[in-house]
Amino acid sequence: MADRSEYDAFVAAAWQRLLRTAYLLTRDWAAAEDLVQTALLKAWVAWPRIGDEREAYVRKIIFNVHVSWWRRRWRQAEVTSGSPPDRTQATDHMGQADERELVWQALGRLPARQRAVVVLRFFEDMTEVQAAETLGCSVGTIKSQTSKALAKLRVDDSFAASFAKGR
Amino acid sequence: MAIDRSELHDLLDERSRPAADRPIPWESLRRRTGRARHRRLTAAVASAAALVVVVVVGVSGGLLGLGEPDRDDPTVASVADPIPARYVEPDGTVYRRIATATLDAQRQKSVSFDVEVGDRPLAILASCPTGATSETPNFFVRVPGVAKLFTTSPIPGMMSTCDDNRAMDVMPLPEGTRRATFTVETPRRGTARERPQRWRFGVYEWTPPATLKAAPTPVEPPAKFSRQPEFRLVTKKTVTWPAAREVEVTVPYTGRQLALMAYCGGGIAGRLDREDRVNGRPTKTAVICESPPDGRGFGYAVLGTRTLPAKGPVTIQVRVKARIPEYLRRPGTLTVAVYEAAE
Repeated sequence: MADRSEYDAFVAAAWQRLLRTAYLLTRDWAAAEDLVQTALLKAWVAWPRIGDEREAYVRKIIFNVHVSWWRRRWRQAEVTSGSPPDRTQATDHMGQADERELVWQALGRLPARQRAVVVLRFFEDMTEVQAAETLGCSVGTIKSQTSKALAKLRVDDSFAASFAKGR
Repeated sequence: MAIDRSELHDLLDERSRPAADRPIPWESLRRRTGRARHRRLTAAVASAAALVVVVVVGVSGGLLGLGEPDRDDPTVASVADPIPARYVEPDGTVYRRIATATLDAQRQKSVSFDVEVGDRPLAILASCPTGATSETPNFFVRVPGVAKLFTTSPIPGMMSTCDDNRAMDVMPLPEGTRRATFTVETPRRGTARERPQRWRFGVYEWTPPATLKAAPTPVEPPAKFSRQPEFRLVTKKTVTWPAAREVEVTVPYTGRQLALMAYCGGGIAGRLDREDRVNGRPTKTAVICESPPDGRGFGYAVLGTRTLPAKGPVTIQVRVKARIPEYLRRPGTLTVAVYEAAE
């Protein structure tokens, strides 16, 4: 069992970072909190065995639990049903904001594993090796998933249409 | 068009930044770890018991299914979670969350969010702040291209979701609707400081069980109530929904006041429209088929003398109907009780 004070200190320090990652995966704050709590609970159970790399351990659980949730139909439907804004998104009236919104929407249409790779590589700034370790797959898989994800973002219909209009 | 990695990083950074405003849910975390600890202890006891059971089964030649080990199954709602991802009502109806939102009444006048909807009926569940039952947010749904606003059914308002912690139905949206904008507005009365602060909402779609379950045992109406005058039970009748949707009772009228109490039991409680008639004339007082009497009280209506004859038999009809067809697959009861004043 976890030492309560040590565990609490870890949660207090890491919660916000973990929640940001979880939100980028789920795109829903309630689901993100649920995901982080699920990962923290698993970490709590295994606390004595985790060692020093606690945050990396929890982050790894977050990514893997998210992929497994995604495979379940109900969770997939929930995520694709949209991410109701808990706060009004800042609206940028410049065209750039529209493009960013389109990229955001396109990211939301990526399969769970490809979205995970994008978050690991371009938000967490992990190397391909680190991303492979986190997701428990080969570096080759990370490379191919990254390539596919970026290709989808480039060829996404709405993204492409917007780009064509802007030119 | 090539994706600029730096822009992509900035976008992800920007979109996830509101995490800083969200407090750590210590209470929920504590509950989860507490339950995990309890499961571990239970599992240890069960393992010891299983050794004994296996011996018994070996002798009898039977097959013992010990079941799967307990898992953290995210599809099962946490009892403590006020807006669970999924839960099942006692009649077997499954509620599955499809969207959530938060309204901070201190800072926001309203919150709107788009929801992709299917063919299943929708409901909204609120996690209400303490003391929020008298001041509940306004709620409505807009469907693109439709002027009409849709709200909760059968009556507008979110009071019962705060009172009973039950999901309230959303009025059926036009056929073929695939996307709708849900809006929740801060309660209008009171100053900002007086208003309840933080509300959370879950939008659900619900599915009744494929096979209609048996209706629950109806709650008995009280034998008497009130003091001046005291109303005493004259007659009562209960029917089972959806096989029956109307109750008719006849009582003698002697000139003393008559009171009518009608309520629904089961998953239909508080969710069906109700219409009362006295000697064939609609009373226009009943709106919904309320929940059965409980420790918090009950509702009744004293019949107006204009609807009653000078003396003689009085026939009372109570009819319930569902705006949402799926209620025909949810079991329930309709109870009607008539009372007469003692003096």
